[in-house]
Amino acid sequence: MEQFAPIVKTYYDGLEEGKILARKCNRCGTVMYPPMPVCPECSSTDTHWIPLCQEAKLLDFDLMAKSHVWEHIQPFGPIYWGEVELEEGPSLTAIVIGIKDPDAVRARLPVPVKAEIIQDDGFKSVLFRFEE
Amino acid sequence: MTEYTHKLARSVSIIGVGCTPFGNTSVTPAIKDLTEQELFSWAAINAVEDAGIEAKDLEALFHGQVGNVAYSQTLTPAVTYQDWVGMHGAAAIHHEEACGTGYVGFNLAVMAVASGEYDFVLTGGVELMSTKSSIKKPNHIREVPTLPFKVDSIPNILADPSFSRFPSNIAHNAVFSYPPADYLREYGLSWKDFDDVCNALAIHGRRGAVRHPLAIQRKEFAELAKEAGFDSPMEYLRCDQYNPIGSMGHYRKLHGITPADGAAAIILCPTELAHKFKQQPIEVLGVTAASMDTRHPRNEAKITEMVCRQIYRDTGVKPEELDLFLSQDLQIFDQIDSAEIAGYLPHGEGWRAALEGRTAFDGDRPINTNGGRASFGHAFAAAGLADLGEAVIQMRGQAGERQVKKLPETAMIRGVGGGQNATAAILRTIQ
Repeated sequence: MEQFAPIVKTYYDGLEEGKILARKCNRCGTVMYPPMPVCPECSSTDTHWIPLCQEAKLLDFDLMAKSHVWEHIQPFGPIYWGEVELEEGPSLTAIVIGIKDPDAVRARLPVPVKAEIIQDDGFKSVLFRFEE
Repeated sequence: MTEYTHKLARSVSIIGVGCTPFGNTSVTPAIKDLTEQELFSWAAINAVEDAGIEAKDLEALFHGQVGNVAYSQTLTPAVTYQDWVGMHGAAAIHHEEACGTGYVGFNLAVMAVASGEYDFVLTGGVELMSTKSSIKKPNHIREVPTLPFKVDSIPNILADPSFSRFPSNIAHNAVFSYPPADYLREYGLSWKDFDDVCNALAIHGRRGAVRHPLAIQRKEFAELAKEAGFDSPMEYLRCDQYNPIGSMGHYRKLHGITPADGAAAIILCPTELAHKFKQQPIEVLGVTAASMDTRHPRNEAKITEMVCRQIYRDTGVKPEELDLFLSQDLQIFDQIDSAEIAGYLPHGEGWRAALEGRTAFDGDRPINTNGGRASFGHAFAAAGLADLGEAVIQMRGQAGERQVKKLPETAMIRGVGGGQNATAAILRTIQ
């Protein structure tokens, strides 16, 4: 690899432009989110940027302890951690908001959620929103 | 990830173990006013005396400490420690894997001896976070820690700083919640059942700890309950006033760790040389490791499964051969979850074994006989080595009042750090 192009800055620049970027492997098609330089399936470094469609499924969730949530994020609350599976394939544990009746949502799992870009502390970040 | 079967290139044995009291260096008489170097030195000297070796014969030092920068304000700290333990000029390597540091330090030392590069290796861990070094004063003059980060954001520094930390790190919450939530759903239990199981684990862990001279906690819950006017320790632990649900998911306060200052150390050598030393050698049949960031769902269960599966494959040991199990229990229910993954307890039956006291030091399926993180205490980098040392003491039959009924011949010690870095070791008594 002759040149290593920035991944982290490119991702966050993408968020500023309203895009949530992932990397896709040219060899096997695996999508990596968050973006990483090496495909975890086939080890290829031949990957390219793709925008996520932002659709996902919520598979599991539980309430976050308030003391473990940055103060400036708490107004988005109540804050849940959720197991989220993206339309493009990757699964991750992520912040989930918008759940008003957790028992009712739990009874209907999996439910659709949408990735959302939010204003963080001087940069943008991504969480997932559940809407009835 | 491709997996391969591996065996240690040559057999390795434990010949010496040492541990300091776990306590608070500002308050606990036995360790009052000791510095990090003095704690580490004490543990190492104990291990050297236990083995009957001379410090100058030790060739390599692994030094584990989580707070060497934030609390001790020292870089390349192993260089300092090797003089403090009498290993002048030896290879000295520092490492840090959060709460798993001690377990990983053991793996590193085993691999160093197994490779043939070194014959006699000391692996130690120390933590002193009750006070902080002052960069402009000698180390006995301490400061109250004004952390570079708030205590409640420590979970955030366990997360990948590019992605997983934002918008807020889910690490601890997922780690606290996943294993019990999955377990309760699979076996049809309630959060009240979970509560009682954790209370039982706390009660029996405390019974072991008060019988360990070095544990930080010195009063059984039966005594505390009586003082508070309760008929039983279980009632006491169910009481929100004395045992509130805190910031750890569904866990209560007394299910959590007791932070401690302390150090522990272990000395290893090739098994072929181990008979020359004082104690009965304890052979290391194998060590394994696996890691996974908390953004991967159920990461801790996955890496525990990986290290257990790999160690059974590499060593040929079967789960039914284990007669002692120690497991890092930052979340006390981890004892049960990891024991079932390891096959030490039958799937779906661990919770019942806990309630029946079978996992106590005097039960038939002993786990964390030293009281684990809640009652022995948590001196981060030292914890794993204290647990490994406890296994050795039990296997030698030297555990006194907390000695398990059936002398263990085969023990597994499962470690985890930051909820993301798992290890396993299997020890066997050499007959």
